[in-house]
Amino acid sequence: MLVEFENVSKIYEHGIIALDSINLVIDKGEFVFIHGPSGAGKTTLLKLIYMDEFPTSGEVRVGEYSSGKMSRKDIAMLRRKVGVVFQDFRLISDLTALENVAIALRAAGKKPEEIRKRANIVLHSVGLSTKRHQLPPKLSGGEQQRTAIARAIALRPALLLADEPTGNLDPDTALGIFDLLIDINRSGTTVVVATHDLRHAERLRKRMIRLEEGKLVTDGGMIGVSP
Amino acid sequence: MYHLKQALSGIRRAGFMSVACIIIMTFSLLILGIFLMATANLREILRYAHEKVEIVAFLHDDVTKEAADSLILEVEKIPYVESIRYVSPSSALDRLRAEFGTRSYILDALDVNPLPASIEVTLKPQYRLKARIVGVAERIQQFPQVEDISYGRGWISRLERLVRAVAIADLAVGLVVGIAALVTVSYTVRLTLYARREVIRILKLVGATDGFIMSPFLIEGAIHGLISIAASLLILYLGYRVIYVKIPQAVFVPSQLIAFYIVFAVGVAMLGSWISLRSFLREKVQ
Repeated sequence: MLVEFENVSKIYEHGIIALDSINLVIDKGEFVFIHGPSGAGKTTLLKLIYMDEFPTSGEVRVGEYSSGKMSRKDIAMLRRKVGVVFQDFRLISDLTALENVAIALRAAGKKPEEIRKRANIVLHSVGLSTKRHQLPPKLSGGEQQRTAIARAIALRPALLLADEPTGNLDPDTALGIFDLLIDINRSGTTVVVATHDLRHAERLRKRMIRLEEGKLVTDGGMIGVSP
Repeated sequence: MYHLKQALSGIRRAGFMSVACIIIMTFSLLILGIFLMATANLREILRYAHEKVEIVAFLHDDVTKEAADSLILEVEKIPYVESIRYVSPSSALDRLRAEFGTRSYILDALDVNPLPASIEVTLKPQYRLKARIVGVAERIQQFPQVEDISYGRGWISRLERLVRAVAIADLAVGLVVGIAALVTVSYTVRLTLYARREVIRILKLVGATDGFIMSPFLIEGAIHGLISIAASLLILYLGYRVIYVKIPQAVFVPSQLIAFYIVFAVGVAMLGSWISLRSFLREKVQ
């Protein structure tokens, strides 16, 4: 799924400029880091991709969808093709890991038999087969994030967005999560990760977009590769 | 099934609020029910009155039996007429005697029978409306044999006015009850919505449509409506049974009106849920 930002600015209420004239293209199958200090506009950039926010000016295009003409139905359909993962996992605490994954499939109108099968397969793929009947509070941080990732990829999205996915995890666990994201990317899914922590990004040598105060300052430099 | 389960767990979550909501709705609906039942009974009285309505044409004293018969033939030609009965002066006197009962000796003092002959005209049931009755009565009055005419003009129009007034009151009460139910349900569902806020966000995040997200809450509203309407119908029916013992002619709310009453309760309850939902659905995911 192709993502394009054309001269996109986002100004929140009270005149806070979150993004300033961003031009950006993310190709199908890419793995991209969005990097920068907190408040640089990383989260806003992701929100514009899954259309939780809309640009104040400019246009965001995600696959066949354009920020200029999105109905509520279009937004729902877009989100079935774009998985999103957050720092705080966003799991439903009174549903098991399996049910948390199943909810994405159910919301997309899949049949019960397919939901059961697919949810089990996806949980297996993130290494949580044995914990599938556990409630989120009984899972470790890393396991919760794996469950959230399983939910995000349950519908085989073309694009996976991750907003500080390892922000709440210890370094070893974070390593595992990044490996999982790499695996997902290898299977053809475009992955965009917003992070302020460069330690892991450096190891992976992927495209890096740096934001500062809402402006795109560098694009394409591979971390750890000398210019 | 998923939606129903979510709806039931929503009601459990709202707990006390759900119960309070159902009680308020039940009593609001009961008030409407009482008005509907009053209307049904007034209509019944009106129907009964119409059934009893007949036009009595008193004939001149000099009208012979033959002249009376020709009048009957003429009146029979009026399309709305169902039946005509001739009452001779002597049978009129017999009737009066019967009505006087033990005091009929009063009539013995009469030397001559003062009562005129008359014809009693009944209209076909579907034409027993005030306007029709007046029309037919006026036509009968035209015949030379007829001296005077009588029908229950005054009280029929009073009764018809009363039924109309009560029907308007039904609408007004329906409106007030509807608003009360709308407000209580929307507040109750809002409580569930706050509790489920995170789930709603997640559902939106994974691409659930508005319909999918709304369904459990609309079902929750509908369940509130159904329980309330069932309870108020039950109370209303028990009340009716009590009245029925004293007044056996009393009627319950007719079935079409009950159907409307149920649809009204459920509809208003679902609308209440929807009002609360709308604002929640516009919230952002993050």
